Amino acid sequence: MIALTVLPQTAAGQQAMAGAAAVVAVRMAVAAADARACTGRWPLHRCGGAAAGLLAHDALAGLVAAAAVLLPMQRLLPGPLGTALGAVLAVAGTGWWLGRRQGLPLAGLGRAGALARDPVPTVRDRLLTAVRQAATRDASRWIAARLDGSRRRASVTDDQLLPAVWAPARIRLRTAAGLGRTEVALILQQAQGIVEDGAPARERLLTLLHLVLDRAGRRGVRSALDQGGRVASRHAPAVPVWTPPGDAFPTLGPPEHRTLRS
Amino acid sequence: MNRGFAVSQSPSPAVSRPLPVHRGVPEQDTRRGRPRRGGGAPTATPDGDPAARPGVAPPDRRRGSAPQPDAPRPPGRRSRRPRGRHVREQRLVRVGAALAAPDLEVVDDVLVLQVLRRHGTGDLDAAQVSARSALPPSVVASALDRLVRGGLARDLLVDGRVRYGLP
Repeated sequence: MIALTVLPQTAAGQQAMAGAAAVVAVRMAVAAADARACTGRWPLHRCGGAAAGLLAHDALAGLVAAAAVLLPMQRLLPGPLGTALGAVLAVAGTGWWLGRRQGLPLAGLGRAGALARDPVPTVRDRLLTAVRQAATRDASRWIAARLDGSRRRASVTDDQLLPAVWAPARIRLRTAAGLGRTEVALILQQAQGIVEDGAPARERLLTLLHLVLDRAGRRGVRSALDQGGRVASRHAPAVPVWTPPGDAFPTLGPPEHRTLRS
Repeated sequence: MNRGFAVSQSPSPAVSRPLPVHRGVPEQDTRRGRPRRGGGAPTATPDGDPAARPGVAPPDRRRGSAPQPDAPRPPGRRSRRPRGRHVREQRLVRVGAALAAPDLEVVDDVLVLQVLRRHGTGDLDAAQVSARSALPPSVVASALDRLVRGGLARDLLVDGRVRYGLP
């Protein structure tokens, strides 16, 4: 608070504030890029507090580095040159410190041989792991929710929704596969294998939609489900045909009236 | 005099090392396989005196001497394997390979395990594993079941759905 009220009063203070802001901005941009590399194409704002925690961690590290490096450098070299040099050194030092592979075993520092034990992941690595886990779980949760909503809107079962979704999903995969014949053939073969598999229809639908998500993103999943839901409600009965339990041939009458000739 | 070694019946000089003969009880024969005392040659030549052969010098077996190119290999221990009480009591375990090979019987298990390892410490559900490993869902389900029962993967119930990760 003191720094925020005192520093901007002078030219040196304004330069220091600008340098610290630049360091923090660079650190946050790098953190966002790392988090995006962990989540793939899944948006960061859906990853919960893990991504925000990672950004806050890197911003705090940048702020500490600015206070530890930039201000002494500004005292050493007054003027914009010293500020710029301090900012560059702060960014580089923060990158070196945050990019290290092993963290400090803070929990076991009092014990003998704490530094010789198995390496501990850094706080940043733990946050990146949490971001990746949150993205993976949120992706599967989102796909399951979209699938349930589409099936409920179309009033069909999974067995009826699967052939309806298969055609638009195939088009999305074909469009997103690129121009190479081999890649197109491989991806369509994989999708065909998923649809023709012996697993339950819900598993096949989820797998197909995850494949579409990996290839065409959320937009592809949304459009394939919407289109498939409309087709399923148009061509399939709204309520599946009821058959009495244990009767495989409802048109032939009850089992006790059935003979070998019928 | 024959001191525990068989007398070669063949006069051929190609026989350089005679066959050892056990003297009495083999467990009590402490001189087996070792050079004879007194610098006597182990080979019994037809003339009976090997030291009298011209041009053949006895090998220099003193410590630190350079090995002669044509010197016969000294009998006895061939390797420098550490032995003794101090080795037995303070032996360090040196692991050269995996102690227990993973029980992977099917190739699909390897593919599924590679997907789990590539994803890192997070967890995936069966549909995600199937989409990333390019295997059908039923194959992935059985492979994940085998991996979990073998202890190479762990399952976790999250939001009513089983997710799989590394142990």
